[in-house]
Amino acid sequence: MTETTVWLLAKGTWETLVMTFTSGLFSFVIGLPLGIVLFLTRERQLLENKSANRIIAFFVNVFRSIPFIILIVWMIPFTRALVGTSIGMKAAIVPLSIGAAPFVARLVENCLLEIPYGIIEAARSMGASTMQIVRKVLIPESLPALINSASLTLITLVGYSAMGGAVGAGGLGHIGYQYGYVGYDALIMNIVLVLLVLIVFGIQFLGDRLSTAVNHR
Amino acid sequence: MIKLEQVNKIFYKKHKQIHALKNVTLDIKKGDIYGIIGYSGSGKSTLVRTINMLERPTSGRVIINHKSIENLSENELMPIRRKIGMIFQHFNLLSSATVFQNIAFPLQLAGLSEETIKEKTDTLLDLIDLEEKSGDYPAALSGGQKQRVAIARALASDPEILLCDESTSALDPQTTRSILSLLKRINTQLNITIVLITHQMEVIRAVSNRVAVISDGIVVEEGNTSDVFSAPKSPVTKELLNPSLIVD
Repeated sequence: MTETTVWLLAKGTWETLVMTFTSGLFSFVIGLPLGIVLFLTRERQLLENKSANRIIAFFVNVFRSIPFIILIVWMIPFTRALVGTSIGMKAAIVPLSIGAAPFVARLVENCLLEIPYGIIEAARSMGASTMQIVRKVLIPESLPALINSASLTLITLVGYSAMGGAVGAGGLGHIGYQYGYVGYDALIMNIVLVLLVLIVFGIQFLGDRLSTAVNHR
Repeated sequence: MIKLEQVNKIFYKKHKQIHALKNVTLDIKKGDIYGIIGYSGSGKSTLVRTINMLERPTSGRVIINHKSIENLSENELMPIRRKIGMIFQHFNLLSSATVFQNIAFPLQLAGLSEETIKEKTDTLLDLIDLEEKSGDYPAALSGGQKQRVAIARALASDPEILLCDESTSALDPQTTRSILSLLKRINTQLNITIVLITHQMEVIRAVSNRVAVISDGIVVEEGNTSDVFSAPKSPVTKELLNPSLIVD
């Protein structure tokens, strides 16, 4: 294996990690509040509001139905307006974040549904505002589950980021495609696969450790 | 201190209504340990929740300290709720917070300073006799200890009223006794009015000075505990007083 190949793989790994973690962060920035609102507007919850819940759920479902590779293309005008370009890593992070955000929202909603209703009721009985309940009850109580959701999202994004190659964002997935599928270089393809597996295992391992550390149940 | 006047609560579920409370009128005096007893599904949990508006009555009035509260907004209710402590059958402690943090929780909600919170919480830990568990998480506590923490948390904001929703139903008889004696001490030493919901006659007998019997959303009997117990009038009260577990 030449030095160029090693360099290529190192660069690909770096790009995959940057895309995964940056879009993971942004998908949570969008998905976490969205998931909280989805939860709070449900029936019998603090901000019960059937129409608001339906509208948000509608958009979440629409974005979750669009295949990711099509989302990238469909979003090009928006991506260009937002980051000034439609090619490269920066451009891939936009659809990656938007694509994962509705997924995160649903995961967050499910995490919050696991909290026993009595705990929320107890906080209400103590005169907590909705904002206080979100910050001091919902998030801390569901933190272990939220961390597991973050691992799940990041692992999904590792896979999605392979498609970032379509807009020239690089990454391991793209190398695997170029050298493996197009050029049929079995060695590089297999190294790419091993690297992707290692990244996924690493995320899962760290996620599990962190989730256990904050779980006092 | 607490007055309920003609309180009705109707739950609307798909295609059917459940009339959980029917014209409930109660007058709870300052210093009372007021017991409300009834079978499951009788409406007693709904009833206690109308006192702090966790459940809003469909009609009728709820008066706390001469102030009618049934039309207040959630924000207007916040300061009133802080003066009404509540404990629950399943304790409802924060699993992610230590004993200390759980007791300090209502004080943090009220935005008090760190020193005040520390001082107050330490006093309460002393009251419930759990100083050595201060840094433990609820998962490491027994049922009785969890309920003690819940009581301390309910007392943190110096309430005038303490609502107890089946607060001993998940506990064994010995632990029940210790929790009841703590409640009695709170009632006499801190002069806190207690409203206690239960299906256990022994609990009422042990601590309540007044009792209301509720069945199917209706208060069927009400009065001094000793009077009601010595001469029960309604069939429900008689049955509650003389429970039989004989299965035929």
